[in-house]
Amino acid sequence: MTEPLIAMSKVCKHYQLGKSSVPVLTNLDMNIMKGEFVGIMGPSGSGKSTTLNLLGGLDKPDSGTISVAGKHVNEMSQASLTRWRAQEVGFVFQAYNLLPILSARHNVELPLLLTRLSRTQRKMRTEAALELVGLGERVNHRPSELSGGQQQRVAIARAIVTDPSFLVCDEPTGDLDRNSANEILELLQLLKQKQNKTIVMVTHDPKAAEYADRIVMMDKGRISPEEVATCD
Amino acid sequence: MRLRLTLANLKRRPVRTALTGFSLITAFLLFGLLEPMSQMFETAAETSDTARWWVSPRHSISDMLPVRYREQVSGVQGVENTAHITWFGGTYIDAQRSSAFTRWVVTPEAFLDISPDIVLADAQRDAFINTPTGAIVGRQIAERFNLNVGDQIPLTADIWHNLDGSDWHFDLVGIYDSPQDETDTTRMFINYRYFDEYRIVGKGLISNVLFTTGSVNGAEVAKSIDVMFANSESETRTQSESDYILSQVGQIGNISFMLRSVTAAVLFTILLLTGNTMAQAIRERRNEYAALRAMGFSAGDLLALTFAEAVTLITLAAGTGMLIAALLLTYSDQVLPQSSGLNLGLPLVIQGIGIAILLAVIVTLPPAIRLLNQPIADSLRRQ
Repeated sequence: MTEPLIAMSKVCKHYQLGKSSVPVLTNLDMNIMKGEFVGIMGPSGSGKSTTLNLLGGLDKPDSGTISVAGKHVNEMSQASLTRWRAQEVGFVFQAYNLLPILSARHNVELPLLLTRLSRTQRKMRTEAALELVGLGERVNHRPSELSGGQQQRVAIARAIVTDPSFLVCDEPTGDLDRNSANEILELLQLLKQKQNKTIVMVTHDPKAAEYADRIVMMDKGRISPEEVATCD
Repeated sequence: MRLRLTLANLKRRPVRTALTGFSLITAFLLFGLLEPMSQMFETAAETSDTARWWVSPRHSISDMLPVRYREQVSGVQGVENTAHITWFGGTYIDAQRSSAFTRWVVTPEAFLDISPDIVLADAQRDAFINTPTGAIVGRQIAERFNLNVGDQIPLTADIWHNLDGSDWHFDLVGIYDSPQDETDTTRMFINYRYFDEYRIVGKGLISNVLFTTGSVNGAEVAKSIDVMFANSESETRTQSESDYILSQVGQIGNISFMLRSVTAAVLFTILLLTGNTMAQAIRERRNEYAALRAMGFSAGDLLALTFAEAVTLITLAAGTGMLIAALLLTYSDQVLPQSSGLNLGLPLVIQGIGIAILLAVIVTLPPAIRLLNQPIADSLRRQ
């Protein structure tokens, strides 16, 4: 039997709200296989974003284990976690989070500054990533000169340029119109199919979730078993 | 790429960057102008001839001493050479500061004998000694007013009016140089003989007696002189030349301290202004920094990036401000001869750059550390 790429086991997380402790995740178990495109859905406050933050190493659980490719992420120090994120995780945010002062090329090149690649190698990788997302002609444009869909493509290029193990996408189509959203989702599917990328996507949009191989429904910090669906 | 990012960040809000830059340039321009002045006041005393001693009226610089005091000082054990000197004042051309320089009345031979810091050609020295209406000026004054030996220098009196009520006219018989660059060549010395004969009041009175002691302890000699004139009609206060200069400057307060206070106040104000600007700039980039941290940039990377931005802005502005100050000081002696000798040396430039880097650290660290201590997920959530 194949080992999952990502394994969450009995993960608990709570936030302190004033003097009261608010549970966000309660004994969450979730496995994600390599090359799988998983959509996480659920109402606000169900723990979707917290789950994504834990998977991406942006936050740590109070208890339980999170293992990615056999490494226990929850046991890593902050410095190790920072290095691990740079190598293994690609982030795609709802608001793109591009640096407005840099061109598309330089935004995509940013994560490569943390590698030992030469300038030429960085340039080649950057151009390849931008070609892959269909923006080979707009490399010198700044974010303000690109549409929302194009900005998200740049963000995806930035997320894949270091060839991470998996992509963490937080509402990647939340700020886009339907057509642009479909283009972005098709691009994510393409990455899964052509590059065997593992993708975990949080979304509120049922149409966006349809692009995933599997939808995980969350409610009150747990996965609702009866609502776990598998798409064709 | 990191440099590109630093420069791009500076261009992000060009108006804000320009305004902050101008404020910093102004602050370091003031630093570049005031600090050399402050040092000048300190070094004036240090570079003065410490072997020379000044006997002054004890109670006020406006009091005078009888000229016979020179003879009496000469008789004190340990005194080697003596001369006397009297403040002339007066006005040359007009009362503008640009026409101002100091003028003293001296007994030429005796004065030159105890003034190794005044270098005069032998023929000019003889002319000064032998010409009752003779006067000499320093090289900087001669160049400033295009004066040549043989010219006549008219001076309008403000203290010492002459017998016929008209302006004084002195014959320029020599132009002196200095063996050291820092020694003052912005003074004029007038022959006492003609001056004393033709002044209306104060005949036989002088401002100070100067003397040297050779290898003898000057302080002991000075004490003997003051004791000798105690309870006389003109009590004295005898000081080394450096102490005398400091006490004269002290008449209008501690100039060096005042100038440094102004510089410190300006730099502190700039610290607050730049600190506020940097804090605002860093706050505005909260989401970007959070995204960069998510990508794998460490807190140290981002701190270095922010620090590089502040250092670039502040040191560029500091450099520009000090460059302008250096240019102003270079050309200032053409407008204000007293400023001659002021310059922004390498130690001061290094000190200025050091202050700029320290400023960058102080304005960058607190807001950057505060931001980097926030959980990434929290920063990303606050769009």
